[in-house]
Amino acid sequence: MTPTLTGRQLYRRAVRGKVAIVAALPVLIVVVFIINVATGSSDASLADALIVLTGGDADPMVATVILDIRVPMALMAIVVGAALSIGGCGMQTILRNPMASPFTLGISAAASFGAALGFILEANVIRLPGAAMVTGNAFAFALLAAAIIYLLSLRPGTDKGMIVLLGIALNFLFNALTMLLQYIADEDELQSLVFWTFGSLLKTTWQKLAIVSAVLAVASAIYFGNSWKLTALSLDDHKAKSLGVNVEALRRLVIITVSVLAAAAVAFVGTIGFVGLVAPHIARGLVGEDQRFFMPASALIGAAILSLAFLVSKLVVPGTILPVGLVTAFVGIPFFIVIIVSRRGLA
Amino acid sequence: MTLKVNDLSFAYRVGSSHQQVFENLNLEFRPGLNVILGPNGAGKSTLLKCIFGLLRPRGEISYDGTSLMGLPLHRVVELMAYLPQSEGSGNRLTVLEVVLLGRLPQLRSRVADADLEAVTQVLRYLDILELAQRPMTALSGGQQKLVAIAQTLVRRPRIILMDEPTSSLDLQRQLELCQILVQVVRQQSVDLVLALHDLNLAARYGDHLIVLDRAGQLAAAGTPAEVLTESLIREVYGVHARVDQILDQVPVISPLRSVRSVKLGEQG
Repeated sequence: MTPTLTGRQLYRRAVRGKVAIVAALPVLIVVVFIINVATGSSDASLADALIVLTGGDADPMVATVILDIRVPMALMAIVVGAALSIGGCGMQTILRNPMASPFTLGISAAASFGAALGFILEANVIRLPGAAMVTGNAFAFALLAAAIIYLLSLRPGTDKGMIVLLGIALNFLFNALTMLLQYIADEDELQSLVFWTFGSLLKTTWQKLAIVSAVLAVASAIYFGNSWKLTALSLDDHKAKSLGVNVEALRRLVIITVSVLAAAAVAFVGTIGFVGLVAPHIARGLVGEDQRFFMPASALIGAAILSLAFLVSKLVVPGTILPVGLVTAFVGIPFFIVIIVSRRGLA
Repeated sequence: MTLKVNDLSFAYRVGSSHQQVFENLNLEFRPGLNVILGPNGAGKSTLLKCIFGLLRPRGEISYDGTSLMGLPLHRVVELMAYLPQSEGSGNRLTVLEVVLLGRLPQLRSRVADADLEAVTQVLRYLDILELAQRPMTALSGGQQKLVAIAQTLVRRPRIILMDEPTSSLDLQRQLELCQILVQVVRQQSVDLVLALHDLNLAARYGDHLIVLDRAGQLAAAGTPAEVLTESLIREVYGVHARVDQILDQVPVISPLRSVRSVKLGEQG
């Protein structure tokens, strides 16, 4: 390295690769999105998809299938993948734990139980317009689980392992509670309840997509606005405080944001595991922990992974669409094991 | 600088009881390089944390007549930088990113030229520019310490508080760091408060020494030649030492033995 290097030159060298990665990921997402739109049980080819997507004239039936069913589902995969991954990125940062994500910490399971409970209440007790009861309940329980984990993390002597173990316990608890609801539900309700345990994009509508997108946009803006402070938080609490970061307030902000993200995703597509864990892990390896790159890279990788998983879910059994949550679990579990056994992951 | 501590009392809560660190402590720092000395548990680190506002003691801490008690963190950070004893490592941040974080209050998504110039300047100053793009995890303990010091210096505050900055540095780096700190004090008119264990480094580089005893009381304050006497070292540290004054009035301390007789237990 030459001593005459200016600060700007040194900085450009340092961020060039990261900028390239963050800029390249949307290209991958767009490609997978187009293939997703062209893939499905009914006859609508890649050519049809491209014609409809570019606003050209196509068979009205085909255009309806593409615009009202496939496009919102493909976009939902992108938005939910990004939302869960930003949630994972946020939790991993504030807990300084690579095993943290809305799914592993039981936040998704809590949201899933909340949504299912809301559904039962809405069907039998309190009727609220839209899906207010389901989403509101999902958020309340997601926040409850996140708050329990946050409070434990504040206790002196709590280590990373204990937090993951508590997450496992919460996962079991809320899954059991959801099963209890399934046990007491009638046949029609049961079919709907299973939706939250599997994780599926099939019930996507433009309205649901708009809600999750809005939540994602607000959460991303909050995170991006605090990106340097979040980067400082990845040092240690004393260091972050000595740099002027209000550590407790920032942690609370992230907890609430993650809960909203997880609740929004779970309320509309059910529990989708591992994306929020795996995407930040890959992102960290690619761009490091400068949150200006880490957060967008996590979101984009999560969007790409869930889009790919959705594509796979349509291809495994021709003519049938598997719940996407099953696919992410099958891909995610081996990855999870790799993280556990590699010392780097726990460093 | 008039950084003053008046009637400072502080106790750590240990379970249901309290462990008193200071009781009505009064002291005054001077312009230049101040060094807080004292044995383990005297409260050197605690005092720095109280000054920076990380702990909430009773009493009064003021700077140029303005109280620092209850000052919001962003105002504290404008005035002071604090280097804690522990280093945050185990993450994948690069040296450049960690030092940039020192400029946190003014950092935007697009990093300004002024911030980058300040960072490269301080990295060059500490002779670690070649480490700029390395992840912190790939550095030795001493190198991590230098990066943490770079992060503190890059802020250009009026007061810098450093807790054991020379620990985990080799002998050459210790001396170089102290020389750098002296230069920083002279050239950038910054006032420094260091907590140190090494009496000889304190004697050689400190302008004003403050010695706390095991009870957290002020044992002595003044120039190295005034403070570092054989009797003080015996009383405060429990060590018999020989103190020689060399030509430029810098005391040189040669520790001889503990005042306690140390017996080896029988094996078995």
